[in-house]
Amino acid sequence: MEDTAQESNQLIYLYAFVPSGQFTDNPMPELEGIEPPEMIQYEVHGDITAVTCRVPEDVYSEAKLQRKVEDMQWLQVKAFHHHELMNKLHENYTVIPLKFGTIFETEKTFQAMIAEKKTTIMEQFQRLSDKEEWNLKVYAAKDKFMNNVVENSEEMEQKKADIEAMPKGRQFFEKKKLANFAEEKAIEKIRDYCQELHDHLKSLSEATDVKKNWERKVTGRDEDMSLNSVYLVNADGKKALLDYVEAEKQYAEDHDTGFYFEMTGPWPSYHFSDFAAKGEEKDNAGR
Amino acid sequence: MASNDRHHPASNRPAQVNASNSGSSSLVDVLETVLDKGVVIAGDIKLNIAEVELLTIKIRLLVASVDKAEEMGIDWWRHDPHYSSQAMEVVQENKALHERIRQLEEANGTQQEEETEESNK
Repeated sequence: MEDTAQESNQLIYLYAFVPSGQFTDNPMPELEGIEPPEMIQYEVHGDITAVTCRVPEDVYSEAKLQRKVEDMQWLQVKAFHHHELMNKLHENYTVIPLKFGTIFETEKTFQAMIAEKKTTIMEQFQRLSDKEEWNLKVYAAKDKFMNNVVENSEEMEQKKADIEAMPKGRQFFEKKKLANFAEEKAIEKIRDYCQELHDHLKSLSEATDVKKNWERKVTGRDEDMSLNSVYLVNADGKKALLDYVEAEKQYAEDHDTGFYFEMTGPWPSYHFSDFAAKGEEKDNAGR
Repeated sequence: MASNDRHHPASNRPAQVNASNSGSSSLVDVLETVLDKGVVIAGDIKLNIAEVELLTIKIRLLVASVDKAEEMGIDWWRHDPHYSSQAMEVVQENKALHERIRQLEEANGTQQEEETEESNK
């Protein structure tokens, strides 16, 4: 069947789904799309409203776009636009956010997809309604924990005394072994704390996910990232979650424990909207 | 409609609302999230986006000046294939120290053996 609903040189960029009821009660103002002057469009398909915009084929065809995403400057601007729009939708509606770069070549394939996913989309609206995603990052100053182990452990005291009695040459290796021991203990302590913290926050949440810790060259911080986790919460859960983390943060500051906390949100439910029955935890907290 | 007053289409404000943010990681956060998460619906176009961590480092290089990047410990592009010149220096120093210790221990060991022999007499 020939495509009639759009110009042949335009593709359909799909941002998100929102419930039609919420949208018609409170429509969005006019906003520019990812490739101005094209504007954001809201296409009502029964109970589901698809948030889209038209994009030119000469930039967004598979081959062209593949080259574009390798241009960091371009990617950064477009990825931010995608996220920015998602935040605006999330301020007003239950939103199912799609991954950056979800593009359809024809109205026909686009319509077919919506028809196929209809049930799942409606289920997700139900599940995500009135919920938010919050991201927690915990950083730990490992040196501080190592010093703590060295200063406050009887086992360490004994080992240090033993080493003092050894010949100088051997002392070098033994001290190195001792430092490794202290480091292992410190890592263990940090991991246990993060696991415990995560387990508690999990009990306040509808769903959680533990993400990969970023390396220092990504974070630009001196401390190691020790926990990078996301929580899907309702209004009650959100308050409990934020209060708990705030208290932990305050304690850490007051007692100079070496833990640092960074909470960001509310995010649209990027981590919990997956259609493949996700939201179950990948349990690698503290790693 | 009243709630629409909140929207400023031309606004360039940072995309993320933060409860307590250092500011440094919001860029990485946003990229990681929109490029890697969100619902995967098979569109008609397949994109191959590089590993997000690598991407974010590349982007950091763009947004930060070289000095700033080096301050953060990002200087591997200068010392390819090893990540940093400093690391190589540490390795060299480490090797030299081990050699020195071996020598000292050998000398010390010989001395000790002599002492033991002496006391056995």
